[in-house]
Amino acid sequence: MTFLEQLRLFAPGVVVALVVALLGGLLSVIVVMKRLAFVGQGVSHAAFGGVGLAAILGFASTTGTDPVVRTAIVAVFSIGAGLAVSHLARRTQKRTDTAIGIVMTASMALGFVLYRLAANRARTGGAGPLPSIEGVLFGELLSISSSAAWTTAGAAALIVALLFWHRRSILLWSFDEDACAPAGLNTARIGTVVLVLLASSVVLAVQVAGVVLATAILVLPGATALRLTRSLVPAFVSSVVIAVTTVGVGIALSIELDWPPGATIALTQCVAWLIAALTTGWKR
Amino acid sequence: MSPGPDHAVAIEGVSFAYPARAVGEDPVPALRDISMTVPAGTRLGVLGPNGGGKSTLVKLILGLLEPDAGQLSVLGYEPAEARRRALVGYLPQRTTAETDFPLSVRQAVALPLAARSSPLTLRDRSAERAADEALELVGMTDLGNRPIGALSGGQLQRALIARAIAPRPKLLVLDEPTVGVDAAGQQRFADLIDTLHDRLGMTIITVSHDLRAIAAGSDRVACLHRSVHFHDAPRGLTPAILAQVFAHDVEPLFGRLHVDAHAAEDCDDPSHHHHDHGHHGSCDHAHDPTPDEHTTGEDDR
Repeated sequence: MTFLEQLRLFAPGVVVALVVALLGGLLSVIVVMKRLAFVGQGVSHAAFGGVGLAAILGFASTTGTDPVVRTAIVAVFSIGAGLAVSHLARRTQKRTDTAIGIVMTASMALGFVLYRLAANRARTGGAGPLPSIEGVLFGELLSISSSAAWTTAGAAALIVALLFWHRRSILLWSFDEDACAPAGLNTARIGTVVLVLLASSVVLAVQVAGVVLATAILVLPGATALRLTRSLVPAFVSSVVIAVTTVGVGIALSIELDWPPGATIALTQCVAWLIAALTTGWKR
Repeated sequence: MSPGPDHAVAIEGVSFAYPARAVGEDPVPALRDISMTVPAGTRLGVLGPNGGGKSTLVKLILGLLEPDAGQLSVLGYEPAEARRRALVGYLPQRTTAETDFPLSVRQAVALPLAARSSPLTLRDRSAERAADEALELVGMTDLGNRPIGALSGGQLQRALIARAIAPRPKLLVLDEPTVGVDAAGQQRFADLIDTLHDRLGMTIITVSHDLRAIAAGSDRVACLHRSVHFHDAPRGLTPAILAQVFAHDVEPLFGRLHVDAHAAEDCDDPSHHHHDHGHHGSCDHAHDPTPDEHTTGEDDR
């Protein structure tokens, strides 16, 4: 197969990856500035619980509507985990990292138990195979169906629209959370909006890079862009450009070298960050 | 315009206690039966020791806390409503701002205003104009395009004041504005507040444990230690009154305030206050006799 034939074969996955890159480009600036990287990490690992739940409920196939239903279940689970984290963090005097540690491990453990139960049931009951654990952990770009691609594009459009709608209050919240209330804004509401948008984006990114690597897409483009500029609009524009470019290059490399796509994308983004870090001075 | 323009803040019989820290413990009282009115356009200094309830008072005025008892009215509204209407500007004691955020000074100053405007306006020119005017008022026009992270501490404070006044609030609340500021900086700060008061005519409440911060720019002073006592400032403030207010504080702080008190006395007509009032045990006996100027919190014992 030529490169272009392969690209056409993987078209739904490529579409999803580029859409997720756009989201990652926009959100990662906020994630880096507001120190939400570990929150994103927690939410993406919590997605594993959603995968297990979907498997035990019988939405295991990689064809038909199953992937869409599965993504919806994972989304509800991840957003719920995100809200649980923020609730726990409030209850425990802002120890967000502890709250994430608890919620993340709880959902991963639950997810794996449910996944194993579903796998046993599938083996004895003769049902179709479950999505592979490897795919869940590190992404399964090539098996993304076109229905999943359309769903992802639609969800991403909604996320971008909501980001745009709330952009100024989200910026103020990220810059100076304590300034929101005196400015007459509802601080908790903004925080929840950001959390839900971040969790939703993580769920979409999990399709590309798996629960382990999804955070890369939601951290690295912003981290790279913020090494290159300290101006607002250029930071967001360059973050999106870096995200889309590195995802594109990552997919091309993975096809050329026959490397796993999720990991290759993550590595490409790491290399881009490394180059930016080395050229702008290591210590910044 | 808001109703009740004669009083910027009216507080009547307000008490507040923080919830008990553990089961079986008592609630932690912070303010007891506070009453005061702040006439519109005046500058009030609230002086009190750490733990005397100053931050609680600020949070009540901003509507971030609800009183357990009593009434607060800010510019004729419930405090939270006045805050939602952007009638109250606030300079926090310590900024929590992420100063390496990719924002210019002008953008940072405009942001709270812009965040209130319609998301459909791509560029909020009225917020930008208000930010430019506020930066001009604090004398930072030439620094508007700097990254917010490139400012010195004093410049950052002025930028935060610009941010607080950009919406043109009717009331400005300054929480410990001179902590960690050197003497020259304090003088510049006092001049700035004078200028803002003259040009914008807003009511200003300054809350501090530091007499210098209070004495420089206040028409009246309220001594706050759980309950409140009023004085024309800085005339009614004698070392004895300060000793009373700070009585529960630790020695070193007490000693330092003594020096401040003498300094304040020197700034003022020193001829009689010390002797007239020095031996009174209670703050609210110490002030001068025009009763309508002193809305007094009743005695705290």
